[in-house]
Amino acid sequence: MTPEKNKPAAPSLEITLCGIKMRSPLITASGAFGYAFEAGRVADFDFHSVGAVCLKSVTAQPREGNRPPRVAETPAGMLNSVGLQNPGADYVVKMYLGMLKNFDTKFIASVAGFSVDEFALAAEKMAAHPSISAVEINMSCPNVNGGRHFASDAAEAAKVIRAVKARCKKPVFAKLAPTPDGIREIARACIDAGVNALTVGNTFVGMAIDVKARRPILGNNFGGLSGPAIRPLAVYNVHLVYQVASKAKVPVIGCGGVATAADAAEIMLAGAAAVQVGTALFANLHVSADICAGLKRYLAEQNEKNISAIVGTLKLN
Amino acid sequence: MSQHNPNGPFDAVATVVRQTPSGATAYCITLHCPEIARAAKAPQFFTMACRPLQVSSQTAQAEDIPLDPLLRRPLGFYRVSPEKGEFEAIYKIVGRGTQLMTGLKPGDRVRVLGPLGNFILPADVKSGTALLVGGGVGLPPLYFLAETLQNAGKEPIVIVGARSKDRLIAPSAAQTLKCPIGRIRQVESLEPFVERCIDCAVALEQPENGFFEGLVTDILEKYLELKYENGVEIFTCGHAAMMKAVATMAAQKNIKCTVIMESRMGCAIGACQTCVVKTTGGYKRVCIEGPIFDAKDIVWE
Repeated sequence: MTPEKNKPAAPSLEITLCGIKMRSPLITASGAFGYAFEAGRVADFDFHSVGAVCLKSVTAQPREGNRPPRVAETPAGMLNSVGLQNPGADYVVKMYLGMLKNFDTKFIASVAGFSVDEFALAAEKMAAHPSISAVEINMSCPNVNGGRHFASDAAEAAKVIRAVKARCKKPVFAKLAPTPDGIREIARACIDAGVNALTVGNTFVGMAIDVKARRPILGNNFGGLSGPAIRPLAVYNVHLVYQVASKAKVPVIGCGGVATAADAAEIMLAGAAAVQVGTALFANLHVSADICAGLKRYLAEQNEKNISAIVGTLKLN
Repeated sequence: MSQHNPNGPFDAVATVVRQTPSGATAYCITLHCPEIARAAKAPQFFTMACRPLQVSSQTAQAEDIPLDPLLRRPLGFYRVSPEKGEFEAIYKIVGRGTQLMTGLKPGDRVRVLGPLGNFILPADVKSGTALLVGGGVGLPPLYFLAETLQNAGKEPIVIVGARSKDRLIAPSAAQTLKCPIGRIRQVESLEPFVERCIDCAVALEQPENGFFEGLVTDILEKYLELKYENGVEIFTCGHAAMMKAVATMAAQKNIKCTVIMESRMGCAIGACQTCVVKTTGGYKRVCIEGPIFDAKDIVWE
């Protein structure tokens, strides 16, 4: 008798999200991981622990982005005001997406726009590529004029989702603005319009001021706050949206300040079926491998065989 | 998929070898990380966490990584020893992060990422003279660059500026210039350059015996009046106002000028688009398209 026979099987981190099989519930958050090939250049970078990469947002037309400085550090976090700099959907499809087949993971396109048509056009172009498994609609960018418009009005959000769904056969995710007041109404409108998953949520709008110069640090004055500082806010938003989404069997993707396995578990207990990791990558590019190792230990401690078993199992006091 | 690229960049854990004050306002830190030391080329940089990993753990897990401050700081390579697997950097205390860095002790382990950015290939270096103009923490990368250029057969001349003697980030030492400025041959220079037999002239805004009084551009102007048989080019690294002044002088004399830019940085691998500078061709990332830029491409703001 070999001792291995008595050992329980290692807990599994595999999930299936909207029909997409992923090796782990971790998704690199849009904007923090470029178009994947950048990290592919880093020696020994291992895509194995990354369930999926959510690419940087693209728009139908190229965008120059905001005036620098574009990053300001804040306690346990940072503000960014990149302003959707990107070379446009056509360029990204032609020059970048071909490289994705070199990396053994799944890819989610992220698209942004300033009109319903722009969203639909960019989504259609990106989704047509065989390496793309799903499209995330970034309707909540805080750094461009009108960037949050479609996530702050239920009817407008629904219009975007319907337009994208009509022109895109792959699963469509909506990335919501992280505003607890009304987030459930926006979520419900997206669900009714046929969205396949809800990403909760984008960065929080903030400002940092250089007190000596009496000026904002960011060139664009304000920016989106991310990092561990926002995690409790993200957990609460996931908890709120899960109440609506679970009834409709629409998965929630948690996003905000996750840097450790305990953080990932926390946001999954609140209702997230998958977890995005963004800013933590700046402190440690190999963070997803560390989180996966920690999640396996956590599942073993909790006597769970599968990561999906913990989703939404939060017991309220 | 995992691939091993011997040139990096590497996201690795370095060990602090030592840390010493470097002038009144700066610190020089020595790190041990052989893969980065072997791959570093001038004037590349690396990023480094402000606080050490938790000492309790032998293997670095996400739980052990300090998340406040979150971002790693970009620092130019100063002296690099591939043989020892070590490299040095000099930083000034400018905020909470660099203040915390001063608390790093020998044996502490810190997350580093590097080498980063574009670099000068020794094979591409043409003979002639290179005027390297720097101020503040712009100096250390110019030291690494001067060494590289000298090894590749170029004659580097370094021009350093500081407000006062105690602001110099390396000890001063007397030097006899190989390339005198007019009749001035004996100057106060900086020790690392004297040791490498690299001409180095120091301009101080507060007058001090043996030093030039004024700005780096005052010395640069004198050097630009000389004739260089094998040609001359300029490299500059430091605060934006100084680099802009140097670039303007170079443009007026039609001399090639290379700037080594710095920026507030996020990912440092080209993914996040935060560390951009404005160029005639749009916003470019300091971490990928830089830190070296042709001065004529920079749109100074």
